[in-house]
Amino acid sequence: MIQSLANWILSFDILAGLGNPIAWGLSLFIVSALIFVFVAVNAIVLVYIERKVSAFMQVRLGPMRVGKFGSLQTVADALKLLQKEDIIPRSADKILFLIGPWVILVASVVTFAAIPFSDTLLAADMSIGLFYVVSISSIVVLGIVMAGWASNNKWSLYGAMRSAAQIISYEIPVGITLIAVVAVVGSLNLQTIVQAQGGTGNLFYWIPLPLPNWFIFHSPFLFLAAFIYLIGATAEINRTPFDIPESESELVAGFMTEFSGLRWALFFLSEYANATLVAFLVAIIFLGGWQSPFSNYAGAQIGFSILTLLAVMWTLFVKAKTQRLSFYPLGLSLMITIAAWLFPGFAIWLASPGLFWMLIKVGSVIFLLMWFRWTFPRLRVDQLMYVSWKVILPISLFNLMGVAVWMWLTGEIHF
Amino acid sequence: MADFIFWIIWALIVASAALVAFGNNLIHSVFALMGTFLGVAGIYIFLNADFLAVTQIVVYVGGILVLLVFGIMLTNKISSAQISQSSVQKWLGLIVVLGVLTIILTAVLPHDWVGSITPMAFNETVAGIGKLLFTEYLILFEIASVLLLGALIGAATLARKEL
Repeated sequence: MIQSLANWILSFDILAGLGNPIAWGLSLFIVSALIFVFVAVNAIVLVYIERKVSAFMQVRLGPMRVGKFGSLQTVADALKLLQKEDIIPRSADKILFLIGPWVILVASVVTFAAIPFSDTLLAADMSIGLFYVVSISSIVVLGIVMAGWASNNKWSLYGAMRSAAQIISYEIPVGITLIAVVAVVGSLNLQTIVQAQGGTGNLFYWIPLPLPNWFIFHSPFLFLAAFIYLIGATAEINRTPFDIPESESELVAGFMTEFSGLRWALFFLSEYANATLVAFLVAIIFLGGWQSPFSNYAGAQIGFSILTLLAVMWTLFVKAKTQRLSFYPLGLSLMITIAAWLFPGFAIWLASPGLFWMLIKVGSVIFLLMWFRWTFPRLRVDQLMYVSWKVILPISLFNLMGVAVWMWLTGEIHF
Repeated sequence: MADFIFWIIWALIVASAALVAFGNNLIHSVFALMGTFLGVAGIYIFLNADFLAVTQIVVYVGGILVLLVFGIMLTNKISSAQISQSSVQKWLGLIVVLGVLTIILTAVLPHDWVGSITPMAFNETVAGIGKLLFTEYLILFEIASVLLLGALIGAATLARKEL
């Protein structure tokens, strides 16, 4: 859609007088602006959801005052942050202090150019998409170090150093895990990776359980790889339980200690952009991206029927455990199931690929990340390094070899 | 438009390289180097070398530059954010630079660059690079990886406590 939008802009008569280059530049600008708007709105929504999720996990209510159920709380927060004074410490390195947050933000936003939102909604169809995303997100380190150093504050500097060490360490296992997937597809193009996961097949090739052809079900090794990637990526974006660069109990706020107002908001914006990016990558690489989990409309009907049965069991389980009835999962899945059986059109829509499935998957992964954040305690610095170099890295290397052997056993490749 | 972007990249490279060379603040120089590396990656994209461009970013910006920053920050005797970098022996340096420049220019100028430009359609380079690395240049590839492994073991040995 973005590409057709660019073509639509090019077709304007007014622009014909300006010449093609300017129209082309304008279309590029609009596409970039769309991506930035997505990231900004996404951050506002995610901050609200994160506060609500954390509240429910701690048996609180969370924001309730501004708007219905506090839904406008983050909008109010954002407006407040925009009005705040932009304080620059006297002994700070002014230039780097001003640039730092922007470097982080640009590096996080630019990566979305290669992300396929659906089969047509894609800003840049790159043959090296996955590699591009990985490489651009490594620029974030420099922005963090820039901000931390320029603050001229020991907490900031410690935070920046920890962050740099952490991101560099976790880049290696994450990269090797991604190579395992690339070895299966034979392409770095994210769109090709998603297209390779269409249709349904057996679980782990031999177990006769019809599941979508997603790479998480490709082999036991890629199943493991998905979790390795999720752990490594959580560490790479400095989220709890790996948020030692900004651990409040030790470093005040790490590399963002000295920042205020808009600049501080930029850190938040890029943090949530990065979390969304990781969720997108997990969805694209392991969960089939915009592919529907159902191969045809009968599959959708049966799939949602099974889901309803699971929801019944969930309701009974919650009832037995807590003496409370939780109707929401059951009600929702029952409604969708009935609709799928009554209206074949709806079932066909459910079975067709599209943005809807992508967002469902991304939302689930983001929820998982929030779940991590509010249930796991923070790691110590040495534990963090131990996990990266002595646990995750060997497993990911083993995974890479395992995937190659697996593909040879299933006959996907020949030597 | 493509020309316009090319000149922006060109300005970025030259300006940040000048900042690296003439800047008085060491940290500023290191971060200005990021502009140079990114600009060179942009030039690679204009040359249809997409894989090389991204590798440039991963290796230089994500690896070497971070290593440089680490090196500076782990140095002793840093008490404030202002670290000066002073250029010593400017005249000697100028002579060396002029000499190198003459050699490069004698090689570059006789060639007819503009006449030899042929516009090419963009082709994917990744598959080709992969095939070449694992067939024709396999030995060189392995030698490079052994070299890097040696450097890794060396660093680990030097960093050990009981040396």
